[in-house]
Amino acid sequence: MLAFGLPFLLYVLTLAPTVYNLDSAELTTAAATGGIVRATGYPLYLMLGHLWSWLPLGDVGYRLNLFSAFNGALTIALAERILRRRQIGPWATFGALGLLACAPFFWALSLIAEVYTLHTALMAAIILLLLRWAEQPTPLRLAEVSLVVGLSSGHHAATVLLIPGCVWYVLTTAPRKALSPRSLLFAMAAFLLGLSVYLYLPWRYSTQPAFNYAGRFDATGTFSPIDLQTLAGLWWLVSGRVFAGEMLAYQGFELWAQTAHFGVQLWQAFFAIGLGPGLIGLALLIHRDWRLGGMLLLMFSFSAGFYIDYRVVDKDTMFLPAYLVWALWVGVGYQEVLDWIGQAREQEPWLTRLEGGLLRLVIAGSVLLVAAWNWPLANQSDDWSTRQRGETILRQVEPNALIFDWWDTVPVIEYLQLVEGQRPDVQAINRFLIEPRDMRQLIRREITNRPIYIDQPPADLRHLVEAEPVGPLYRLQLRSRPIPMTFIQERR
Amino acid sequence: MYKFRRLLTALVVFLSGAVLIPFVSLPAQAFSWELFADAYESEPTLIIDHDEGKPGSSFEIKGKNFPPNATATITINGTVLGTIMTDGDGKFEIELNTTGADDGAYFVTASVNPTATIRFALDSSSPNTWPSPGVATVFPVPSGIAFTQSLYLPIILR
Repeated sequence: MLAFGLPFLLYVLTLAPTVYNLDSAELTTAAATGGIVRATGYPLYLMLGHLWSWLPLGDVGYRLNLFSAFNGALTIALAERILRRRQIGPWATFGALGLLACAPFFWALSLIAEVYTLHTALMAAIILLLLRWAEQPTPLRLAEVSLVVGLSSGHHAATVLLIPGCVWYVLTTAPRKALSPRSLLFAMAAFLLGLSVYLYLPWRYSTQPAFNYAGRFDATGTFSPIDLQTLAGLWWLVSGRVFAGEMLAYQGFELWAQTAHFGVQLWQAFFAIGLGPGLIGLALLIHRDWRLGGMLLLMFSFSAGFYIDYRVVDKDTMFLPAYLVWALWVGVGYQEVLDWIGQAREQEPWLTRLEGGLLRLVIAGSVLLVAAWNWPLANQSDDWSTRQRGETILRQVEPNALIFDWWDTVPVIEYLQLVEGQRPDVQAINRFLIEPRDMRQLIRREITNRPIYIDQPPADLRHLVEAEPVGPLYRLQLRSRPIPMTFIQERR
Repeated sequence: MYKFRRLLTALVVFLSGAVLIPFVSLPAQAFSWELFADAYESEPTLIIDHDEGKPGSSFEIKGKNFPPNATATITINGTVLGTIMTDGDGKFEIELNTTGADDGAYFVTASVNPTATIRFALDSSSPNTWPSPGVATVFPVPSGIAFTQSLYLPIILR
C-alpha cells in the first residue's frame, strides 16, 4: 500500500490543476470526447482515459492528469513487488524506488496527461508476470504475460523494445515448456486478445468524432481523415511511419554525443547517488541470475538505445522505461551493500548495527534530499498557463474566427470547445495538419469571409495582408492597398 | 578508522556518482511545456529581430525547423551571400550587416530543400540603427541589390 500511496500522494500534491499543453491537451481532448489522436493511436490509453474522465474530481483536464499520477504510482507499486520477489528488503526498496519516483522526468510526467507512466506500469506488470511464470511455467501464466504484452503494444509501440528481453527470459528459463504447442497456442491467443484493443480505432473512426488528428486539412478547410477502417489506413496510424525519418538518425560523433547526453540524464535522474549501486546491481544480477539479468539488460539497452538514436527535441521524456530498469538494479545494489554491512562482527555487534543504521539513514536521506531538490522543478500545481492561453484567445477572437496555430495553442482551444463547450463558432486548425501551400490558399479564400488569426503571419503573404497583434496571435486583414507583388531591382 | 572501513566503503559506493558533479550539473531546469513547444512545429521558418532600420544596421536572423546538419544557402534579393550549416536540431543563426547597403526592400531566403523567406527594409530616414547582436556568422549585404521600384499588379480574389 505504501509503495503506491506515498508516490501517489506526492503526485497529487504537485499535480497540474487543469488541462496541460501540447500532447497533454491532445490526449485529454481525445480521451474525453472519444476522439482519435495522431500516430501511433494509443487506443488503450484512449479507452481507459475515457472511463477515467468520468471521475467526479476537478475538471476533465485534472482527471486525465490524475490518470498519469495513478499510473506512475502503480509503476512504483509493481516495481516494489518485483524487488520483493528478489528478497530485496524495505530500506533498499524505498531507496531505489524513492529515487525513481522523484526523478525529474518520471515525476513531471506523472503530473500531466501523458502516455509514459501507463507504459511503465504495463512494463513493470510484464516483468512481474514473467517472474511469476518462471516460478511455475504453465501455459496459463505464459498467456497472462502475452496478454499484457498485447495490451501494452496496443498502448505504446515502444513495447516492441521489451520483447527481446521477454523472449530471452522465456527461452532461457523453461524453453521446452514455453515452446510446447499448448503454451504457444495460449500465448498467441492471449497476445491477439490484448492486441485487439486496436479495433477501438476503426470503431471510433466510424463514429466520425469531432476531434481527429489522423488526417489532413485541404485548401478549402475540409478535414480528410485517414480511413481507419481500411488495413492500409490503420497500419499508417499504428506503425508510426510518419516518425520513421527521426529513427536511427545519428552517426559517428553525433551518436556518441547523444549517448553521453543519455548518461547525463541517467545521472541526473538518480541524482548521482543511484549510479554506484545501480552498476553493482547490474553486475550482481547478471552474475547470480543471468536469465533475469540478461532480460533486464536487454530491456534497458533496447529502450535506451532506441531513444538515444531518435532525433526529436523532447526525447528526454522517453527514457522512463530505462529508468525503471535502473531502479531495479539500484535496489539490488543497495541490498547487497546492506547485507555486506550486516554480516555481524563477533566482537562488536553494536558496530554492525550502527553501520547498518547509518546506511539506512543515508538511503532514506537521499530520497528526501532528491524529493526536496526536484520538488520545485517538477511541481505543476500552479500551472494554469495552458488554460489561460486558450481562454484568452477565445475571449479575444471575433465571432466565426478561423485560427491557425501549432500544438501549443490549437489542442487546448479544441479542449475548451469540445469538452467545455466554449466558443463553438470558432474553427481552429493545427498547422501540423495542413500543408503550408494549402494554408495559404485557405487564408486567401477566407480572408474576406471571416476573421483569420495566426501565430506567425506567412512572410510570403505580407504583400496581401497586414497583421495586427491580438494577444498571442495576429489578426490578418486584407490590405486596403496591397503591397506590389513584384519589385524591380534598380542597380545603383 | 579501520573499524569503519566497511561503512566507508559502502559510503564510497553510494556516493561514487558524486565525483562527476564538477563535470555534470544536478537537475536545475524546471519542467515546462514551453521547453518542447518548438518540437511540434514542422514548417521551416525564419525570424528576424527587426523588420526595418537605417543602412548600417545589423539584423539577426534565426532559422528553425530546417533539416538537421544540412547546408543552408543564404540569398538576399536573389544574390547568394553564402552558406551556413544547420545544427542537430535544424536551427541556425546569422547576422546581416548592412553597412554600405542601399535603401529598399530586401528578401532573405534560406534554402536547404525546403526554403523560407523573410523581408526587411532599409530606410535612411528611419530613426533606428540596430547594433550588431554579436552572432558568429556575419554576412555583409552588398550594395546595388535593393528592391526600390515597384510594379502594381491587379489582385484577383476568387
